[in-house]
Amino acid sequence: MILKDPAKDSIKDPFVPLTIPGALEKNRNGDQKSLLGNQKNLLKGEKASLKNQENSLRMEVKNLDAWYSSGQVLERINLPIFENEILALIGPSGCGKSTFLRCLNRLNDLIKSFRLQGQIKLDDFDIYDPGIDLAILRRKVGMVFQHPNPFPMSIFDNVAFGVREINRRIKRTELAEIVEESLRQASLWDEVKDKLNVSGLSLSGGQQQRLCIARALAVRPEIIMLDEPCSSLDPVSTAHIEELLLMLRADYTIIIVTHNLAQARRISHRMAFFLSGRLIEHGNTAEMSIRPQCEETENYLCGRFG
Amino acid sequence: MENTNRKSVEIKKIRGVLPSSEALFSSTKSQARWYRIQEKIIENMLLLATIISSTAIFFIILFVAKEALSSLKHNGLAFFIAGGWDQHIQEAWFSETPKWDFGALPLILGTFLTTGGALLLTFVLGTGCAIFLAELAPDAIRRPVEAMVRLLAGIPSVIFGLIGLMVVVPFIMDNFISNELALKFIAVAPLDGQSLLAGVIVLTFMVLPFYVTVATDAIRAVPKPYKEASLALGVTQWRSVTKVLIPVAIPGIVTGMILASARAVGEAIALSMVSGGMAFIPDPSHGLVFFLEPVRVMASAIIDNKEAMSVKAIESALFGVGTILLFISILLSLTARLVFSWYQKQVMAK
Repeated sequence: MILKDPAKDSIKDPFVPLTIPGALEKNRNGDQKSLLGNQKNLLKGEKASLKNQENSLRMEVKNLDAWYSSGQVLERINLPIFENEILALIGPSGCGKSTFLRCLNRLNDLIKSFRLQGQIKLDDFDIYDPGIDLAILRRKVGMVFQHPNPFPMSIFDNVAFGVREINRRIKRTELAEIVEESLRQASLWDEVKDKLNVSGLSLSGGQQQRLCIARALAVRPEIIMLDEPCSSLDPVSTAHIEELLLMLRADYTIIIVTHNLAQARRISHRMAFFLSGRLIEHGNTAEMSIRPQCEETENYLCGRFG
Repeated sequence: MENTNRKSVEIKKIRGVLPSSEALFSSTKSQARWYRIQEKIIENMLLLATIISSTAIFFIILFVAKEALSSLKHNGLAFFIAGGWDQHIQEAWFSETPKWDFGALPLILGTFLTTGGALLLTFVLGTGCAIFLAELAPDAIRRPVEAMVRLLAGIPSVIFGLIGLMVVVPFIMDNFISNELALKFIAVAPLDGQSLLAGVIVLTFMVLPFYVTVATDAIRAVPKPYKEASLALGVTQWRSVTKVLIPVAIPGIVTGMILASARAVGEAIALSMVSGGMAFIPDPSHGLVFFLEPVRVMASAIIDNKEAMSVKAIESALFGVGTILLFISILLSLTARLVFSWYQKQVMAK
């Protein structure tokens, strides 16, 4: 955890406009003020994050064990997650990657038989502390699911839903701006700008998934988790989303579960290899691809199993 | 090796039952014709079964409407908008010459008032119950509660009537009706606890389980990803339920309401026991006493007046009431379908 530097804080606003090349040109000049004000509003009372320190620790998982009714699914997981990195969780199916992801925003709480031991810290706060506000945690740690799951509402409402819930008295123009910006970030704007009132379910699979990403971005999370976001998509849509993640990396910490080793190599900075509930190895993507430390990792990366 | 051998032996054993391919052409023409006839017979029997079950509704409508025709023809629109049902029954029963005048307005209003009141209470109570059962209750509570609700649906209506008569009616009598009040209204209607209010309360508990069961299933059937997506956005559990789950479950909820109203409209025995023995139109100008005044609903009227059916005019009038009931229930079931398909179009295909 880095110490907060007040001087830096005041200079470097944590809510800097998103720096996606090309995507935000319009907002950058014009209505930036109101957007910024609104973002502040959205994320009231949050700690600032420092942009210029690449390797500051954002989340830390310590000695995590987890059980479903069927038995233990995660064993002694220790994993740091750094600011502004793309972390890829890889491993064969059923190895606990998705479970691990769902621990990070406490979505596993929905499962009655789920039990957990250990610690997950976000900025030094234990997220399993009984006093934690789940709504704020999940706003900070956004999630995109394996299968596109837009709400049965219009495209606009899909993106606006979370924002409206955070600020019920938001002005319509502000809301429209946030929706447009989020859709642009998810590189979906050009395809849907003329049919924002059409149901989100009428889009193609790839578009739906980008809509879900836009929906997650609209509430301005700090960490975005994606659970095999491309598993049901064609190569073109997959390329779209990978490109998108690389752009988003500047402003978000991204954790992506993927089955696709090539994808992990293409976009991630660090990889974490899971095998039957244990974290075998984690480290820099390039290094891990060339010189894996463990035999299992090597076997998996070479395609000998999985 | 041994394994493969055994497998092929097994397959041969199974294949051995099948005739060789030459058999495809071995059956004679007459045999083939006989098979075709057999199939035709079975097909037609199935068709007949379908026709019988699907056209029964037309025969019922035809029969009821035919019996009702003479009364409806004589009274015309007055049958629906004129009052004085009880008096008309008396006149028709005691008069020497046949009397055909009937006005069923009190019965129609009685049905609408009891059904409307019961639906309102059902919606409030039942929706809360459904959300609790589908979303909030831990299994240890949910299972027994759900079982109890389903049991409630199976209780015969005469039992509801009995309990209404022994518990609800005396309760209303003791708590809301003083002697002075009863005396004051003695010329208007007897206030003895058998009332619109008692009818609404009893009816509510009769239709509640139908609504709760359907609405709970509807909320539970909302795909889990919707809820997860909403929660993952940082929306609270309660807001997720009201903003995402309920809207998605609306067709089911509406279907539950329509099912409940269909049951409520046709309820006869229990209401005949608790809602008062006269075809009275409660008067809103009496204030809250409105709810304490007796009503008689259409279905109860058919039961209460059935002894007088030997008089042709009364029989026809009762069938007239039956016709109205029949059309209301058909209308309800059509509305259910319309609402459902409209909603699907709105949400899914837009």
